[in-house]
Amino acid sequence: MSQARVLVVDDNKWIQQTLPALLEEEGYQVEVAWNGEEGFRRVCTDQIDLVITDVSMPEVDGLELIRLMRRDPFFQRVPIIAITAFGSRKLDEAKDAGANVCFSKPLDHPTLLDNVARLTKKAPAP
Amino acid sequence: MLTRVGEPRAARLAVAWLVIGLLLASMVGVPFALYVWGKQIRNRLAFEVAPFELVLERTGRAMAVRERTLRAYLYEPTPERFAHWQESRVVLDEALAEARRMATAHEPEMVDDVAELVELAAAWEETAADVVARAAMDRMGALGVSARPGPVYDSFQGALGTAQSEIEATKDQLVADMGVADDARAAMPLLLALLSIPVMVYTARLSSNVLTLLAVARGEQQRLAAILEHMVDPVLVTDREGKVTLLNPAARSVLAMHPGDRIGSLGPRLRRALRAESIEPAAMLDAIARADAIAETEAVVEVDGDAIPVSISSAPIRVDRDPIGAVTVLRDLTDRVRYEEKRLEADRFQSLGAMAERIAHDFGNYLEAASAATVMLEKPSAADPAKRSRWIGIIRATFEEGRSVLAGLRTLSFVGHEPRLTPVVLESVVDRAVDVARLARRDAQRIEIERELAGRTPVRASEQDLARAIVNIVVNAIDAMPYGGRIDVRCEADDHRARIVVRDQGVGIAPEDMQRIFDMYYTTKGERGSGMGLSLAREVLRVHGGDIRVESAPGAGTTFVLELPRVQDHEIPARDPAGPDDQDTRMEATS
Repeated sequence: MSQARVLVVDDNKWIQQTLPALLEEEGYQVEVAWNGEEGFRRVCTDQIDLVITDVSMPEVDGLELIRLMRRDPFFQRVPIIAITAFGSRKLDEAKDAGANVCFSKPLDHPTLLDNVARLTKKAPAP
Repeated sequence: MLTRVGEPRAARLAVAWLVIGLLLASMVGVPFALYVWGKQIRNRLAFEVAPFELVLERTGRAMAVRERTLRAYLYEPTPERFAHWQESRVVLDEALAEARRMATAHEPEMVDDVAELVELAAAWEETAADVVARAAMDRMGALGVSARPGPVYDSFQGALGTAQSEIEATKDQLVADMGVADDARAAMPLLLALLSIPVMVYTARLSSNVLTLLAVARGEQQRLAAILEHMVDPVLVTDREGKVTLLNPAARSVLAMHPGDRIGSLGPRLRRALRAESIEPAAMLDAIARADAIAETEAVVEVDGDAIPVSISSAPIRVDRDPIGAVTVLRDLTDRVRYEEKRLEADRFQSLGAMAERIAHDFGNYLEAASAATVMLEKPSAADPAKRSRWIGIIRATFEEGRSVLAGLRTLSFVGHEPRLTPVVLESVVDRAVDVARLARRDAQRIEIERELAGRTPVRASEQDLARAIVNIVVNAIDAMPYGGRIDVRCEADDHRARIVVRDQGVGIAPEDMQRIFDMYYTTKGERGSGMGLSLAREVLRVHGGDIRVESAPGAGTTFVLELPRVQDHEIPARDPAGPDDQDTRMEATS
């Protein structure tokens, strides 16, 4: 069974390290992008099963990334988890843009991983 | 407006009054002239024509006597009768001489008539003498029909009749003239009175119009006075010398000015508004005194110890394009300033919210990274020392980052505390602060900082706080020049104030940001700015009894002027109190 491929999009240099490490530990294959533009390029070129994106990022932000994906027939169905260190206003915006689930930072990691599992519908590797 | 309407009417009224004047003059002048004329006619009749007439009559009578005495002598030639005849000649000659004199003097047209009479008289005398001589020779018997003077006598009387009728005609003419003059004199007042009626009516109508206009003008004036009276804003009218000629009660009570005061006397109570575009009060008052226009210029006026923000407008009063003075209105801006402050307050709350959100965002990220790293440390993979130290490094780095954000926040705790002020030398504080600012920004290497700090200006200051304010200003200047450039830092002082001037060649400040740059948490620098540097600097200057001014335009660089009171030289201790061991090494730049 092939591993689910998760794309993490965040501009924070530490979260770029810690979040992929957590997911890899759970058996996912993880790609990292630092803003929305790079994230969308990865979505187009790599076979991505789930996107975890920060909302506020330089140049093309997470909201824009979500909108781009939701407009595109190829990626409309790719699940998206939005995360943000900003308040609930940003979470609502992300939800409106089309994110499946939204979380605030700092994250509750078990809940995040449960949702990743649910949305990828692929059992993590043992 | 009023004069414009009144001008043609006034001209017509003047013409009407002129006509009335002429009529009145005629009423007196024409009868008088007629009277003089009549008098002349009477004089001529009495003293010239009538005596001439009498002389002619006397001449006729004298001639008749002459003829009669001749005949009497010829009838009976006695010596008495001859004597009578001889004597009667004297009377005739006298009468003729008189007639000739009077004709020459007064009746030139009668001179020829009189001359004819004289000739005829002479002819009669010659004939008479001839008759008398022949009668003497012929002894009466020779008195024939041929030699009698009768026909000459008849000719003389005929000529005399002609002269008399001529003078009679002259007299009749004069009497007729006199009648005309008298009649005219009698009729003149009536005629003139009739002529006067329409003119008087017209004049009365015009006058009533003018009176109406005057009443309207007076009403206007009263209304204007009432408006001025009830205007809340002070209104001053000045003449060309800048002397107050008129002012409303508001000006009297608020400005304590009185008619006759000079507008310049307001000077000591007028201050420049803090905005960069306001004019010096002295220049403004000069402009008012010169009757130059001033449009909505802001200033601060002191009233009973309160500083009231006002907007001053002044417009020249012109008469036929020549300014005769100015009307000046001071509009109280207290309400507007209060409203603006409220709006700024609201903006401040907004920026406070933005700041809180940003801090929450940063800490959210640090905590997320740290907590994820902690989770990773608990995983079996953390047994690998390289991975372990990687996670610990991330935890440490997030803590470090959080600490520096907190350091920035801690500067807020300064606000509201009264610092301890000690005498220091301004230039040395500035010098060290510039050094610290250079250290605080690594990219300051591209920037040349020119210092002009030769003086020793004594000020009372909390050295640490003042230096921090200066560091913030200089760091701001460095941040404003991402592509390098020069910053000039210098100190100036007069007897009472000391100034630090920081001029950069940077991007400048947009007018819309100008109002808010000193607000807490307001920043235009994104991630690099906390929005605290300038508000902190202003607070520092405020507790030092000073202020910060800024002049800037986008692309034209920015000049910050930090002003604070200077003290007397003897207050500085001989040793510079701020040594390298002092606190300034712990200062943090919070831009």
